[in-house]
Amino acid sequence: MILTQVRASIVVRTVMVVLGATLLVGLLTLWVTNKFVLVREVERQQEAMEALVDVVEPSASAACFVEDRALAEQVVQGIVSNRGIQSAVLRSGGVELAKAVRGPGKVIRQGAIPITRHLYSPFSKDQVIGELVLMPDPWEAGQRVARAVLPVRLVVFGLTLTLGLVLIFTIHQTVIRPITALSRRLHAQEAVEGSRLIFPEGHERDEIGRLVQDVNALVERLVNALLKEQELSEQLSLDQRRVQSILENAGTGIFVVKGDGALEAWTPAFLRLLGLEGAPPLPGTPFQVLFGLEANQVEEWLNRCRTEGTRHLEILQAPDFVGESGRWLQLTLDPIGPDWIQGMLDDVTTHHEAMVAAETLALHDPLTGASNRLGAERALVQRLSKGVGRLGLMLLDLDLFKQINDTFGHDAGDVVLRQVPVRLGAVLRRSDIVARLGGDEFLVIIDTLESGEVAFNIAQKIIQAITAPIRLPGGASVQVGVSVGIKLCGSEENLSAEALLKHADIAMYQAKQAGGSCCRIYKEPASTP
Amino acid sequence: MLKRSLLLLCSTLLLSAATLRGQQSIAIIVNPESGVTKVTRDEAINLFMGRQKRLSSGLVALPIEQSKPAEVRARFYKLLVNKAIAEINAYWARLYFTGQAQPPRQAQTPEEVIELVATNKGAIGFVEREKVDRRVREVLVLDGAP
Repeated sequence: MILTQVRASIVVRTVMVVLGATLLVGLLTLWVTNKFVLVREVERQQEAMEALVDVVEPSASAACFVEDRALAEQVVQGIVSNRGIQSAVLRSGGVELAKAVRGPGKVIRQGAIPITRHLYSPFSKDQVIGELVLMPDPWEAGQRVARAVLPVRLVVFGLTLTLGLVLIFTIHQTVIRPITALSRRLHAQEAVEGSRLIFPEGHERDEIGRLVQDVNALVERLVNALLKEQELSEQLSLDQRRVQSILENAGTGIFVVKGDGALEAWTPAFLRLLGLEGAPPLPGTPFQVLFGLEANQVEEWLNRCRTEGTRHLEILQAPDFVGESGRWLQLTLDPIGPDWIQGMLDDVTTHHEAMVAAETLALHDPLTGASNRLGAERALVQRLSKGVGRLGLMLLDLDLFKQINDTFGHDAGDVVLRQVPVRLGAVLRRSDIVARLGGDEFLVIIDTLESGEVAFNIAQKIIQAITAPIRLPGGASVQVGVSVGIKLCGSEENLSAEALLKHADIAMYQAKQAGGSCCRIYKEPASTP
Repeated sequence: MLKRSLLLLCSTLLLSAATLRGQQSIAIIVNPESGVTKVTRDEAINLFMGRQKRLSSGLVALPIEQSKPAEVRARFYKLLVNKAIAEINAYWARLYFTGQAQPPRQAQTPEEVIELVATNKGAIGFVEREKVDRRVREVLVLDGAP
């Protein structure tokens, strides 16, 4: 750990590199010097030996000339008394005259090149009479080299040491200290506007000064960016709050569902409209559950919405569990992307009620409360379009109504007219339709009429009910008759509503001709005799 | 002028005569009974410089040198080994103390040399050629001219 830190330090790394290089160069210098000095030393040794031989040559030569072993012995002993020569041999004509070895062990070290000097006769320079062989001492040469190289060695190590110390000091003073100070200041620096690093003393104009400048510029840019971002963030937050406020306060409930109908997000209004404020649903709840709708129907809406990419609109009655009953909701589904659908929910109760009221007004007779001609026609067309079972149409026309009007006034007539649907309702089923077509003419539409006989019986009941006396507000009692024309139609007959009414009218006219207060069933002219 | 030239010529002639006389040949002589009739130059060097200790006939050699006049001795060594007396002395000085090789025996005069040679069978010496007589045998002549 400490070792890693030490290795990571710039001082240590730089010093190690520089010292390594210096040491390498130093060792190289030492090696080259060593080589050079060794060569020089060997040369010097050779020269010294040559010089020595020059000195002893006359004596050696004389000793050889007269084969004087004593003189020869003196000569070789004299030679080996020199350091640097380990042995000397004097030969004359192949015979060894004398030999001397230096040192106590008399051991000759290998590895040196011997020098041989031919000896000539003292009196004839071309007559070889013997030879002198000298063996230099390699160890002595090595010692001399070592002594010669020692100062170089000291200089190299001294230089390396001095260089190292100077480097450590210099790098520490000029690089490490300002950087450490800078690092400490940077550490304590706050990212606020206008904060700047102080230049380390004496480094205002060098690389460290430039670094400080760059850091200051960077900090300034970052702080500016930060401030701008803060501003934008505040703006965004404000916008979000605004949008949220709009969403929360909107009367429309907004929600988002996945393609499969799983509810993902919603506004408070959505919960309010569904009466779920106290118990919000879990995310992922299928939204049809909240509406009490059938899953396959909702699936169909969603699929259509997604595949066709169009808005789907639906008016629904609020589910039963919504506290306030009888409310109407408008559901709007809009696709947003391939897998998401945004829904809107509006309370349209008021609107719906107004619409229903308008419809009622348009399709009902204001005097009697029964359907008017338009309502009757619409009901008839609706039933025909369904085409189920047999239908019975009964056209009713009051007899002697004009006289009541003339005798007792229009108010009495109105009472009579109002009484007609009441009495009809008493003999008919709820599903049957009663309508006032105009004046004293009424229409009854009977669903699923099995036969003409049943129709006849019903008609008799109707006649009986209507012909019963009617009490007027003034205390008088009046009686009206009724002519009933019946038109029976099966699903096989493909006649229009107008034609059916025409036929009923013909049958009614026949009943009227027959004296009234009776009924006639319409028959085709061909089958009539 | 002429007189001076003549004087110069005369003195030159005198000098030349002296030189001729000084360059007289030197003869190496042995005892007639030594059995040696001829000695080569190398043999003479070896005998006088201590290398050869016997004559070619097998007798132990007794080299004798003439010390007076010094000029004859110097000329002898000059002619024989081309060395100065100082060099010869130095040579013998090197060998002297070991006692193995002895320098030639000294004789004072040419007469003494001849006397010694005539009385010793193995003796060998040198004298100016004109001094050689019947008592000794001349075996080698050293000339000024090579």
